[in-house]
Amino acid sequence: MDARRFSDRLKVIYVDDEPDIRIIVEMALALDPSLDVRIAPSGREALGIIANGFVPDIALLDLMMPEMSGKDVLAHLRDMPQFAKLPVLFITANARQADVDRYINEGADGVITKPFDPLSLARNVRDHFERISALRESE
Amino acid sequence: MTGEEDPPGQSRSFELRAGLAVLLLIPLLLAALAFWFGTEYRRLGSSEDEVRQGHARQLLISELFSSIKDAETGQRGFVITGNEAFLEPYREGRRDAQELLQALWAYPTTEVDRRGLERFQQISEEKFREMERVIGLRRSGGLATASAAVSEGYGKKLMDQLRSEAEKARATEAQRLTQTLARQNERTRTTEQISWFIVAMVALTFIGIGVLFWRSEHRRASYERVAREAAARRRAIFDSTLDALVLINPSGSIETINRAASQLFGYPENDLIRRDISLIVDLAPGEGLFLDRIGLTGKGLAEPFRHNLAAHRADGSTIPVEAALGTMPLPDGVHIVAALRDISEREKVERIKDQFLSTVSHELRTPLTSIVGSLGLLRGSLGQEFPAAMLRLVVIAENNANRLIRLVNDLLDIEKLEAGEMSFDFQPVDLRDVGTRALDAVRGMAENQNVELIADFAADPVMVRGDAERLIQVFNNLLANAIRFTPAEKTVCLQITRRNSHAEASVIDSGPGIDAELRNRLFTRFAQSIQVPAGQTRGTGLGLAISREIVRNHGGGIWYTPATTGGSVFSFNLPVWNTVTGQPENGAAPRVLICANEAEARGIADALENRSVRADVVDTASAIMTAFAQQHYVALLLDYHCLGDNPRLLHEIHSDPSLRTLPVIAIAGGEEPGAKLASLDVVDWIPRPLDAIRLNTALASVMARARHAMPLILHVDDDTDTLEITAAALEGRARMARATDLASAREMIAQDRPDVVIVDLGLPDGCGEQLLGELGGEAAIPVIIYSAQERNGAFASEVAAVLTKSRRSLSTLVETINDILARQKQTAQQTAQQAAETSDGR
Repeated sequence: MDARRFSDRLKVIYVDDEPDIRIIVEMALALDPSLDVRIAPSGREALGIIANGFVPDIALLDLMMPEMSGKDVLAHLRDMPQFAKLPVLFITANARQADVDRYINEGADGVITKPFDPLSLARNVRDHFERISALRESE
Repeated sequence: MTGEEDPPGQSRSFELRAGLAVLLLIPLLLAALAFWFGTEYRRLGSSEDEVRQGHARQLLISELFSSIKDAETGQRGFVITGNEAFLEPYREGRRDAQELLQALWAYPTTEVDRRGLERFQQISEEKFREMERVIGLRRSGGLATASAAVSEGYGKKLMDQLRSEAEKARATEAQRLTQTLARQNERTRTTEQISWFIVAMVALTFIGIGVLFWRSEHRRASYERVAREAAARRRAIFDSTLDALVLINPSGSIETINRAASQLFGYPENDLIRRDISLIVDLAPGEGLFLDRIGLTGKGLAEPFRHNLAAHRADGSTIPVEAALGTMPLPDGVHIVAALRDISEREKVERIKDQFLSTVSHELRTPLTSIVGSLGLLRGSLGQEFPAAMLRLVVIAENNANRLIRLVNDLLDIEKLEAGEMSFDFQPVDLRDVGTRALDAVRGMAENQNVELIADFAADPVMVRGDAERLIQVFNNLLANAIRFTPAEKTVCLQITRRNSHAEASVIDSGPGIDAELRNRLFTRFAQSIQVPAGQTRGTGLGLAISREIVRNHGGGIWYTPATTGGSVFSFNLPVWNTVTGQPENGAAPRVLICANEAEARGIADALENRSVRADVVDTASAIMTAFAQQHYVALLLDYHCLGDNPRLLHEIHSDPSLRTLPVIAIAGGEEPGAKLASLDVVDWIPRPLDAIRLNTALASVMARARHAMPLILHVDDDTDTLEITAAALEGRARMARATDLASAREMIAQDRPDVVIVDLGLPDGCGEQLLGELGGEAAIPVIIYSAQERNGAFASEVAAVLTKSRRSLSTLVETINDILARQKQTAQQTAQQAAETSDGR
């Protein structure tokens, strides 16, 4: 990783087409003040936020969305050299171990299952980020 | 039905036998009568002869007496006249008398007749002597002398005697004639009676034949009526059944179809008769005889149910059908009865259901995620500001929302499990580790309930081949139930142990036990006890049904027993997985045969038992062939001293194609077995004293060889889950090579020729069908199309089967592969045998 410190605010982008879940995730992640969260209702808007200068440290993508699915957003992100190694988590209700393995094979770095515990969501995202960062450093 | 038919059948058979017996008896009786008639007829003839003879004798006696009288007349004329001319009739009479006497003697006579004739002859001779004397006296002494001699009366006396004898003879003859005639009359009557009897018998025979013929005709008519009625009934059933029924003859052409088939395929019934079945549905693709292609073996059809076949209608359209096939052995060969069912509606319903489930999955989980999330946030971040009663309400709402999520998950799980669509990630796992993880997952719940969890695990690893996540789900269901029903300060115990070839897990609770009424349907959906302990949330009612399906998918069973302490014991078992052999141990563990002295063989067998290789022990060579006949062995451990009692054994093993290549590990007493075992495939020899390391090395090499001898199957599919599932299903049967695209498949085929190729149609770099042309040729590799896509129209002929991924399609795939491999093995054995015979012939 670059010179980032863990004390820095972790920039998170979250994409979900469900407004209620967006609000809950926003509130759940807001419980951790060290997270700088941007929420987008679609992949296209998320890519717009990034294009407008928000450089996320980690992306949380809902899988099943109209127009652009989570996988499509991931593909777009991976196409951009600066995000080739961006930690990306899928948030999905379909998360059997076999599915998780498949998502990982398809380029995701981790999966958060719905429904999630809102009180530990932020901790969960941080844990994923630290695990993925450690993994990237060892590569 | 048969029971009802038997008694009349027996009676008919008795009548037939009796009729035949009578018909046989009548000719015998007729023959006897004819013989009797002949005898009587002959007797009648001889009676007539007797009558004739009697008449003739009477005539001869009269003539004899007349000729004597004529002679006497002539003699008297001479005596009176002295004229010699009168002597002429005398001489003639005398001559005639002699001839007649001779003639009389020629007739057969009784003693009485003979004595009478003798007397007559003596008297007549005396009479002629007397007459000669008188003639002489006439000549010498003249008339007076002769008259004096005549007057003495001797001549007259003799003549009277002769008359008397003649009368007597005539009387005797007359009496005899009367008797003979009486007898003849009697015989004529008898003969007449016999004749009438014969006529009666012949008439009876004809009547009997007539009756039998009539009865047989009558029966035939009634059988025909019954058969016509039965045929009409069956035809009515045949025609009124909703499924399309097609009767196929051994050559693969259609013999008859029912009305439903005619309607389903859109052909008039008669248009399909004698047409090949592939015209409407290709039940048996490929080359060769129809019955071979359709997979008919000695044990019946290898694949009696075919799912999702494409059926072609007369208008050119295609519909999905499933087929249930049955066999009907008839004198001209095995006919196939195919019941075909249009499944397009069902497929539509399946699609709607899948769509519905997917919608339920997404649409229910999404709001539930919001609800649970909101309630969680409320409870967590705002809890302090809420009155306790309100917080309690939030907790209730959250618990119930979570329960709804579990219910949705369970419903989706059970649907997938029961439809055979649940994918499993089978890996060798230690069931104790899975149990530990499951206990950790429910520890919080147990602590809340103040229930103590006890782990009672086997000391050694309990290896199974399973999906750890799914097994945890089973454990969680059982443990959560147990904790829910166990009172505070009591225990729930999880036992994991190994019993023979199975791993067994039991969850023992200290709850109230299960009502007898509920026990029978415990593992069905929503079979919940009405009594849920106070303060407990209800389960979803699907946990046990899901657990049962998961355990079944692992090849195990699940059951309930009441605990001796009054609680419940829920147990399930799974086949123990042999990590050395990579096979389950339930009977399928590889076997080796050991032929050595008993103590030594037992020692080796025990050592192998630890390696989970099964060993059978024999101590004579003659027992080896018996063992081979009963079991399949991967190797023979042979102490060549065993061969002492049967030196021909080596020849027997060598001449059996299936044993010729059997790896043999020889046990030698210090010296190498050398040429003695040259005809066997000796892969290693172990000198005495037996060294465990050497034995293990030899055995490992044999096992590796056994694995290498497994057929190689290449599965080409871009869906890695499908590859995983297929590999798991075929594990132990074949070595699996996997490719996710055409390019890597081609590379693999070039490297190592597979025995069977399973190919998906939709691949990232093209259509799987492209491989077909490359796999054909002289030694074509059987190809199974296994795809979710449906393909209209026929494939190239080299396709062994076309299977559509759907419910239960995996089992069909495995059956098809088993069938192909069995046929390949058989062909290989035949080829080997022919080669051996050719080389022996040389």
